[in-house]
Amino acid sequence: MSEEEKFDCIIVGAGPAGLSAAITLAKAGVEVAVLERGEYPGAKNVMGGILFTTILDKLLPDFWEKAPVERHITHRRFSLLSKDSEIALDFKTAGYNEPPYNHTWSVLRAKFDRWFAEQVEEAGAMIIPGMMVSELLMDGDRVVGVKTEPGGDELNCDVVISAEGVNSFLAEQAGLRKQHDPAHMAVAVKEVISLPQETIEDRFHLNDSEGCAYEIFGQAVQGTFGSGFVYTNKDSLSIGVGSTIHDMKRHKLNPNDVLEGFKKHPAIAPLVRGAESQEYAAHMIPEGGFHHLPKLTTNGLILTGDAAGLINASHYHEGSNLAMASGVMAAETVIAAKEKGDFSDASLSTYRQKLDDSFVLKDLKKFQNLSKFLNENPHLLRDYPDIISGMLKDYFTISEKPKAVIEKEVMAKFKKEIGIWNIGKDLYKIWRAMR
Amino acid sequence: MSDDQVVPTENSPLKETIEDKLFLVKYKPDKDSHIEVDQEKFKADTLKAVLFICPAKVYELNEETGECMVAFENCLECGTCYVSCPEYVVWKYPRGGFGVQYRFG
Ligand SMILES: Cc1cc2nc3c(=O)[nH]c(=O)nc-3n(C[C@H](O)[C@H](O)[C@H](O)COP(=O)(O)OP(=O)(O)OC[C@H]3O[C@@H](n4cnc5c(N)ncnc54)[C@H](O)[C@@H]3O)c2cc1C
Ligand code: SF4
Repeated sequence: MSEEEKFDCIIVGAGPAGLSAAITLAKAGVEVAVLERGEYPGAKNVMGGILFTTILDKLLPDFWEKAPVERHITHRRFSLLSKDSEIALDFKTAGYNEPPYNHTWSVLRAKFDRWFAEQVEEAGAMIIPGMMVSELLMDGDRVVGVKTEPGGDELNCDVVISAEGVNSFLAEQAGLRKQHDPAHMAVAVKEVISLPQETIEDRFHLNDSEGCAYEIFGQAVQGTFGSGFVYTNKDSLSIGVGSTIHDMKRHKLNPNDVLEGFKKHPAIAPLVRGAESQEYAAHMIPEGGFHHLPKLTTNGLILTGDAAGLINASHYHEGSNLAMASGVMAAETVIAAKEKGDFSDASLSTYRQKLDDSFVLKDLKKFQNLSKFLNENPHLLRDYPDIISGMLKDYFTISEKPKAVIEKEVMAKFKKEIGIWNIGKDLYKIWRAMR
Repeated sequence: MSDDQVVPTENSPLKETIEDKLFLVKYKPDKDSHIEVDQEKFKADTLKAVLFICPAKVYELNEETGECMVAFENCLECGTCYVSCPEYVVWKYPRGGFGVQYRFG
């Protein structure tokens, strides 16, 4: 191995985490190479499509003027589906129409990642696509480089940043995580379906470049522990569903069948009518949350983004910004370690402290009990949508019954099917889990 | 494309089956499979979840031999199979540059 092949830092993966780390290091003059297994950055990457950009805006100010972003999101909708009804919380504001557009954009990752990688290259990082890291090179208990496929070349460095995403085989090799648990891993499938721009804007009540994000629970995923989504791009929609592998297995479901059920639901069918399928994709989401974080560093190695399990799997569905934030913090840790000339676990462990002090782990901590709670109370997503929509249906059914009688009947039914006490208990538990 | 087209039909441009959807996906196939199945353990498993859980229907039962056939070239590289059935699925990434190539992602 020749000396000129030694980098200060090797980053595995050119997703949001790896690219954010790389640009931060390159700007600080650290010699960095990003190895990406896709033929181009983005070739392997799938996301529902809402990119949260507080960090990106600091790395590349006013990025939206040049970046291939689709729409800025001004309209958010959360709903629960029963078999034939929908109950929704719907919010839209023109207040998000000014820069920085509430840092919320729909994107298509294959396009966006490619563009982001070009900016990172311009800043001085080396990006090597078509190169898969097959293993970490070890010297005792220290990571000292990587081995790549095809070719079997060995590249040496002082420190590796794993930004390898959800599968995180390198984190497993380094002993930082155990085997993936199907209860903490969701499988998501997604379709990009095209529609004329005008149809999208009319159908979703959008002006110009405004966009909307629908998050849909309950029967969207046949009552499993997961959700569906519909996001607007310029001239296409991103539509998909995701649930834990544990639940999919337990109910013997195929993810595409769940997606088709979702697309045909009476509340969703009119949104996708007349559209043309462009691409089908599948990807996992690490949903273990705060309780199941891996150890984040070891000698010569730092985990970032999905490889570190940094996903806020509450109703916020945030991963992209946590990935970017962790990439930047990993880079800052490497810069400090380089100054000290110390890449040991002890030196790199300031990374965890940075994450603890930021929104990344504060948010994961806040929602740490939510998924456990929903897992232990499957009736919430399975039964409540039916019961509540049934009550609303009765309440709004027009008849010649006096309204006072209808209200009484609805209340009686409510007491029978759920009971004030139970709903009170469940609401209290939800509130506790979200605190 | 008019707004009042009705619900998708068989010839609709809005695809329904995995087979139809996979036609839309771009691949650069490697010559060797990146997936291996331990056939004995597969045969011993009663649920055989890989047969239904894979979003690309990569795994299919050979009714005659009871073995699991693997159409690795259709893999969307999600990882669900090895998380779901670690006892008998050995799944690695295809070599760098090969495999699925998302155009939108
Ligand atoms: C269906 C779906 C919907 C989502 N929706 C949202 C959303 O709306 N908003 C949001 O914020 N987040 C969302 N997320 C989560 C978000 O996509 C992730 O949190 C984010 O992409 C993580 O970034 P990352 O850089 O850590 O990993 P990734 O984006 O997965 O990047 C990892 C990179 O590493 C490369 N790689 C992996 N292993 C190797 C190796 N051994 N050698 C070389 N290269 C390697 C991969 O090819 C890839 O480019 C969603 C996820 C999914 C699956
Ligand atoms: S990685 Fe995903 S698409 Fe590929 S075989 Fe496994 S489950 Fe199927």
